[in-house]
Amino acid sequence: MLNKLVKSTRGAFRFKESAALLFLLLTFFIFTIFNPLFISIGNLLTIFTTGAEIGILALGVNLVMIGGEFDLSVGSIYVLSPIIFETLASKRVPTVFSLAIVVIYAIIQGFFNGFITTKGKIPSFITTLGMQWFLRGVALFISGGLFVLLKEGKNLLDIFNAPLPVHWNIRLSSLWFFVLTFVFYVIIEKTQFGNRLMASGGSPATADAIGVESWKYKTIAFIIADLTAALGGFMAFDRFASIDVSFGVELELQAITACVIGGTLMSGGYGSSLGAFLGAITLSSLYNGLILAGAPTYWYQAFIGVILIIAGLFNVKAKSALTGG
Amino acid sequence: MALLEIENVSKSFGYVKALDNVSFQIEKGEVVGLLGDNGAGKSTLIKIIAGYIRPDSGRIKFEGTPVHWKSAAESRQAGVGVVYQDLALVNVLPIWRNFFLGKEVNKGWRILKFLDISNMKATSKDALANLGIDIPPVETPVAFLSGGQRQMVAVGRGVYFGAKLLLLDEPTAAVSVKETEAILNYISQLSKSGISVVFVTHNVYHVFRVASRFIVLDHGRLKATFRKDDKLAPEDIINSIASPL
Repeated sequence: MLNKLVKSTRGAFRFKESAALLFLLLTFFIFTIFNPLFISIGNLLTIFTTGAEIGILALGVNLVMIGGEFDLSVGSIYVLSPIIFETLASKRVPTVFSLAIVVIYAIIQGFFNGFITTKGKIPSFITTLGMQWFLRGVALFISGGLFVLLKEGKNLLDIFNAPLPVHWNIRLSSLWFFVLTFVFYVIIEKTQFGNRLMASGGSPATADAIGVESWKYKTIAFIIADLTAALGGFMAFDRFASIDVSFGVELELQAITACVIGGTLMSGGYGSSLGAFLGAITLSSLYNGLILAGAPTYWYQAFIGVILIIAGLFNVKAKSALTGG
Repeated sequence: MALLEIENVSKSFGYVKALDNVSFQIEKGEVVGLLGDNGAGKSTLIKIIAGYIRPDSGRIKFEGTPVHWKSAAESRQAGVGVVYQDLALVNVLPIWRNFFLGKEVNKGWRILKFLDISNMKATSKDALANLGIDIPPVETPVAFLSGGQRQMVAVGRGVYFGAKLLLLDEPTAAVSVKETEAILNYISQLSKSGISVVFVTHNVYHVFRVASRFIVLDHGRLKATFRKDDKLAPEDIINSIASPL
């Protein structure tokens, strides 16, 4: 009897990503009515390419959210990483070496975010908001507040985001996004780390009581998120061949929005990389569709706000159906 | 040789003396009721035995050797299973993930190791069958379980991973009458198979049925111990708990 009841209530929300899929289809439907070009293959690939950079950020942020925390510093790391890289490269440090230094920096940064949050027992909202301002200040200091141009290391950074030699506007970032979504799916659902991270986010005290030290898994999630933030930054830097601090502003909020649309719970313990993937694509289709529909692009921000709230409401329902409240 | 020996254990939190020179022993296969009013020091004692917090002074011996567990993982490894009232299971995770939390079964090689999900589902399903309480499919999130089902999942997990001593914190609180029966029966069964149980509770009548010895704590001190015989009635223990120190 009970078993049947549980099964039937779960049916409607069988998959973590059902809300995200619904949002995406709705967005596609509406914008195709406004402009049939929206659904053309060329445009869909453009949507995918623009969604990839924010999406890769979202994959990392998603992991932190599953661990029951937030990382608001990813936008600053996104700009600081290429700025450090180019500053070193322009001082004749070999580019591979410069890249390695940035990777090490991102790992240390993530460890810091996680360690201060978990050991200092303060909300990650505070730790990473502070980091966001601090790192933005550092980025402004290094760049002198100016655009940093990609002069050294273009060849190396092309591994992240070179245009693909095809007729359409599609870049390597799309492939990275595809592959990383799958990798993150495996990490979350199929590994011991994923299992422990979900437990650490769902109920850190329970995890600790059974001997799973929640701080470790949360901290690793921060490290991975800050690495993906750096990766996203390199992709943007390669695509625009220049970057300044304004590139990273509010990116963390877009990433969180993508995750919430994707069904990830703000309360931790539950989330999906495929959901974050669909969430990021929803955001970029919104941006793209508004342009094709001839609407002023500042509506983009207004729509994001509305979708975020609707997704939040949807998640509450999904949560009670999937986890009993 | 006693399975667990507690010798002169004390623990203070600031000015509050949570445990004051407490000593007792638990034999193999024995069910001991740990009783006392709110704030008597029961949960502190449980947490110290489980290695979750460290005592200020005193000694703990497990299977005859002194132990200094620094984490819950270490005591679990040695054979102590704890079922906390609120911290037993993670609500959002399905039963099988909870069952194997911290002791996951992996397959694969070196860094490319992945959860052996089908194995873990099948194993947890088997381990939770025939406990006297029906458990829903192991894919069900724990949030959907009743109080008794949660207890059974947590206890079943402890037994499966080879616990020699189970510390049960209020196992019959928020549990239906029918499920309470099943849990009490199961505790008796455990005792017969040689597993020792410390049963922490307010409910003297529940523990009276399964325990052979009762320890009463009051303000961190060991106030009285009772051994079950023909003359002992639950009311004697209740009077002891309620009487002034």
